[in-house]
Amino acid sequence: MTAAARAPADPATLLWLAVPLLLVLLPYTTHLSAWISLSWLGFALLGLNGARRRRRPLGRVTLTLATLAGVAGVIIDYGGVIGPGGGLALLAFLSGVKLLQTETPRDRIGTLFVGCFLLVGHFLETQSLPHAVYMILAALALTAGFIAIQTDDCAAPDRIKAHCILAGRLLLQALPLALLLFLLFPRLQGPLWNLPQQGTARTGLSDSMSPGDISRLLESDELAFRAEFAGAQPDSSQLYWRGPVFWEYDGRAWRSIGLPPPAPVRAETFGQPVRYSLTMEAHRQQWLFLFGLPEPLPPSLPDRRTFMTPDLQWLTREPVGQRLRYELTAYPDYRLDPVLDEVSRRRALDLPEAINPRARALAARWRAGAGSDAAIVEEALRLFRQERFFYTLRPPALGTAQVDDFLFETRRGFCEHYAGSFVFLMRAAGVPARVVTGYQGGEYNQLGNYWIVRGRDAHAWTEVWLDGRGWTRVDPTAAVAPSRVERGVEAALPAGERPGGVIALDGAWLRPLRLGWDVLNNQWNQWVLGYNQERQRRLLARLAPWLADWRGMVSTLGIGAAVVVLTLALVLFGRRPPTASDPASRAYARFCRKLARIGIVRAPAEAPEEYARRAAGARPDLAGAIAGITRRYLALRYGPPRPGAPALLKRAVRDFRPSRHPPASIRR
Amino acid sequence: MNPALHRALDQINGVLLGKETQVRLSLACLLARGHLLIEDTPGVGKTTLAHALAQTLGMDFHRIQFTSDLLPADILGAAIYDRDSGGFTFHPGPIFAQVILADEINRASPKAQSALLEAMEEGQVSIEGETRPLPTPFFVIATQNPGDQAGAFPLPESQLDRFLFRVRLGYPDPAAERALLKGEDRRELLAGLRGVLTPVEFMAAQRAAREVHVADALLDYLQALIGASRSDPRFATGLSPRAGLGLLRAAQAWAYLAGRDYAQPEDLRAVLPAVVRHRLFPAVGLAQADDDWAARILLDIAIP
Repeated sequence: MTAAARAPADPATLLWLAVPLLLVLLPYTTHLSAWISLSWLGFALLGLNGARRRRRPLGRVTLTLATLAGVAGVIIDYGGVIGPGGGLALLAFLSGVKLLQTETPRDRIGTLFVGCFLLVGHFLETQSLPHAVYMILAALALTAGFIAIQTDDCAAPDRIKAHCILAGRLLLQALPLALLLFLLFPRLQGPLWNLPQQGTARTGLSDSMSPGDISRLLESDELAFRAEFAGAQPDSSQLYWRGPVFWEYDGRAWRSIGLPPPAPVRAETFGQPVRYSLTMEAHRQQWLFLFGLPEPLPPSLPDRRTFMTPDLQWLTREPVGQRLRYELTAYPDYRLDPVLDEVSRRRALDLPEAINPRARALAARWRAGAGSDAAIVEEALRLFRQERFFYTLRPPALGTAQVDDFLFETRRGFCEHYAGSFVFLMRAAGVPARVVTGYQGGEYNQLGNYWIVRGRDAHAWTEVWLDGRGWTRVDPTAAVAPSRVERGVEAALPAGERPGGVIALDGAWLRPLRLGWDVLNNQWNQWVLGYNQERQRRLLARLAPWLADWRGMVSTLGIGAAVVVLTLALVLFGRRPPTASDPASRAYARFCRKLARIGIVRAPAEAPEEYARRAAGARPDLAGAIAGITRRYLALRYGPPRPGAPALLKRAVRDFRPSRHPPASIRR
Repeated sequence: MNPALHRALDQINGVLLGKETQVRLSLACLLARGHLLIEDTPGVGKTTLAHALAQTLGMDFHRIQFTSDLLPADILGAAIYDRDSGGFTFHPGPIFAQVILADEINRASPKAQSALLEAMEEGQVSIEGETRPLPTPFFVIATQNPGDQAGAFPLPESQLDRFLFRVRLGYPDPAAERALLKGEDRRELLAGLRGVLTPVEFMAAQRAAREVHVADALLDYLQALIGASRSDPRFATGLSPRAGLGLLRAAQAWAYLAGRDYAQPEDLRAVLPAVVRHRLFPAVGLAQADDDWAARILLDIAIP
C-alpha cells in the first residue's frame, strides 16, 4: 500500500460521510447516553482535522483503545450490546470511530452502510408520520453521500445540489418497487418491527381509582384512541367509552380485587345497533374500550385472545403493546343484568366499616324517607345539583374521611370525587352501585368523520342496579357540571384552570389545521402502520380474490418486481444511445461494441480516428478493417449525403468479427 | 489536398524546422481568415514563421516593431503637409500591407495596440475623417512575449478574442535543433523564398475552405463543446459566439488542409487548443495548471 492510499479522505469527502450520519443520528440524541453523542461529535471533529492535514488523526493503538472503551461504556450503560438499546448505541458510537478511518473506499462505503442500518433502527423506536418524513430526508442524504464518495470531485459547492438531485432521482426510481413490496410482501402477525417491549410505562386509565389518578390524565393531550362510526354520529353526551369497572372501596381508593372470572354477560338489547371501528393507541393495559353492548357477545378479535367479564369489561390476555384496531357492532340501548345474583348484590353493597359517618347518616335519612331505590338516586343527584358543588381539577386536599370531607366541607372536585362519593352514598343507602371508568365524549373531526379521544376525555361515572332496569348509568358529574358531558372537560372547568397548551392549540384558526393533521396521522396509522395481515388480505381480495393467499402474493410480487425493474431499466438505459436515429451511428455503435468485447473500449470523448489508431495499435491484424469502417462512418456521418453508403458501412460492420486473440502469426 | 498548399507547407517547414503542427495551424488560421497570435520567448522563430508565411503566400509584408513609444500614427500613417503641392498628402503607415507582422505587440501602449486591433476587426482604417480600405487578404500575425516579462502590456481579453489562434512555438526538439545549427543562415533562407501561391489563388483556397461540408452531427459536437465551456464552473467565462464561429471555420480549414470535403470531430479537436488557449481562463480561486488546461477539459466532453 502506498503512502497516498493510507492518507484519510479529503475534508469534502469526510463531510459527505459525517453530515448524512449526523442527520441519521440526530433523533437518537434524545435517548442515547450523552457521552455517546459527545464522543461522536469529538470523533467527527478529529476526523475533519485529520482530513485537513492529510494525516491519520489517531494511531492504531489509540483507536483500538477508544473503541474498546466505547464498547465497555455501552455494556455498563445498557447492560449489553445486543438488542435495540445497546446494539444501536454501540453502532452509533462505532459510526463515530469509523470517521477516523476513511482511508479506503471500503471504509467509506462501510460507514455509510452503518448509517443505513441506524436509519432503519429508528423505526424500532417510533413510527410516526413526521419521523418517517424526516427519515426520508436522511435517506436522501445517505444516498447523496454514496454518490459523492464515488465521484472524484465532491468539493465543488454546486456538486452538493447535483448529488442531492441525483439521489432524489434514485430514490424515486426505487419507489415503485418499494410500493410493490409494501403492498404485496406477505405480512406476518403484527408489525415487522415489533420487538419485546422495554419498560412498561402505562398510559391511560389504571386498575384502581384514587384521588389524583384521573386529574393527571385530564391535563394530558395524549391520544387514547380514535373511533369512527358508520352512519349517523351519536351525540357527544351519549358517548360513554366503557373501561375498567370498580367494585371495592377501602376508604381511599376504588378498585377491583382481581379480575372477575369469565362468565357470560346477561343482557337484553333494544333498538338499532351501530357499527364503529376503534383504533387504540398502545396503553400497555388490558382494557379494550367499548361503546354500547357489542354483538355478538363476547366479541372477538382475529389475532388476540380476549374475554369479557359479566360487568361488561372487555379485556385482552396480553397488554396492548402496539396500536390496535377493532370493529364492532353494538347496541347503545341495553339492559345489563336484569336479575342481580346474590354474590354481586353483596359485592355492590359492601362498604368498609365505620368511615364517613356523616355520609352514612345522610344516606340512612334518604332510605327512611324514600319509597324506592330510584327515589334515593334522585335525592343524591338533587344534592349535587342544588348544593354549592364545584367542578375543578385542583380540589383541596381531603382528610381521612374522604367522602365526608368532600360532601360536607370542600365540595370541590371532579368526576372521580363525584362518582366515588355517589357510589358510597348509594351503597350506604342500600342501593347496589359500582364505579365505571373510561372516556366520555371526544373531539369530532369533521374532516375525517371520526372521533378523537384523548387523555383529557377520561371520565368516571357510576352504575346503580335498579329493579326492573338492571344496571343503570348515572353520571353525578353531569348533575354538577352538565357542560362536562355536553362539551368536554375544558368547558366545564373554571376559566383559570383551563390547561394552557390545550387552549393555545384550540385557537379557532388552528383548529382545522390540527384536525387536518390528525386526519393525516390517522390515515398513516390505518394504512401504513396498520397495514397488517388482515388488512392486506382484505385489500387484495377486493382487487382479485386469487391475490389474497400467500401464493398469489408471492408470485405477483415476483412478476411485479421483474416488470418494474425491467421497465425502469428500459426507460433508463434506453436513453443511453442518443443518436440511434441515423443508421451510420447505429452501425458504428455496433462496431464499437464489437471492439469493446475484445477489450478495446471507446471513451465517450474519443474521436473515431483516435479510437481507430488506438485499436489498430493494439490489434495490428485488424488495422485495415478498423480504418475502413472508421473512414466510412466519418464520411457518412459528417460528410455530405451520398446515396447507398449506409449499406456499405452496415455490411462492413457485420463482417467485422474480431477474434479475442490476434492470430498466432502476429502474436509476439 | 490542394497541391499548392502542400508545397507551401513544405517550403515553410524547410525554414522553420521541426514545427510541422504549428506551421499547419498557422496556415489553417490564415485559410480561415483569422489573425494569428504567436506567443513565446524571444528567439524561437516567431518572426521567421511570420516572414516565411508571407513570402510563401506571395503577399506583401510589413513588419511593425511594437515599442512602448509607438504611436497610432506610426502604424496607420499620417497626412503630412507637402510644400510643393501646398496641401496635405497622406503617407500610408506600415499597416497597408497584406501581411502585417506585429512584433512584440505587448510591448506597445494600449493606445497603439488598439489602433492595430481596430484595423484587424474592420478591415479598414479611418484617418483624419477619411476611411481607407486595407488590402485584401489582410492578416495580422502578432507575436507576443509571455506576459510575465518586464515592461509588457498584456492584451486584454476582449482584444485577445480577435485573434483566431494563439500558437506557441516552443523549443525545437534535439534533431531539429541540430539541423538548425548545421544549416544555412535563416535570414538568407528567407530571402531566397519564392511565392508558391498568388494572393488570388490563396483567396480561392479560402473560399474553398469555407465550402467544406459541415454536418449537423458536427454542429452538435461543437455546441456541446461551447455549452460545456459556459456551464463548467472551472471557467471564468465561456466561449463567445465569435469564438464558436471561429472554431468552426478553423475546423473547416483544417479539414480542407487534410484534403477532405467535410469536417469531422478530429478537425475540431485539432484546432481546439489553439482557439481556446487565449479565451478560457480559470474561475476565481482556481489555479491554471498549464497552457492547455482548458483544452484538456473540453476534449473530455463526450462526442455526441
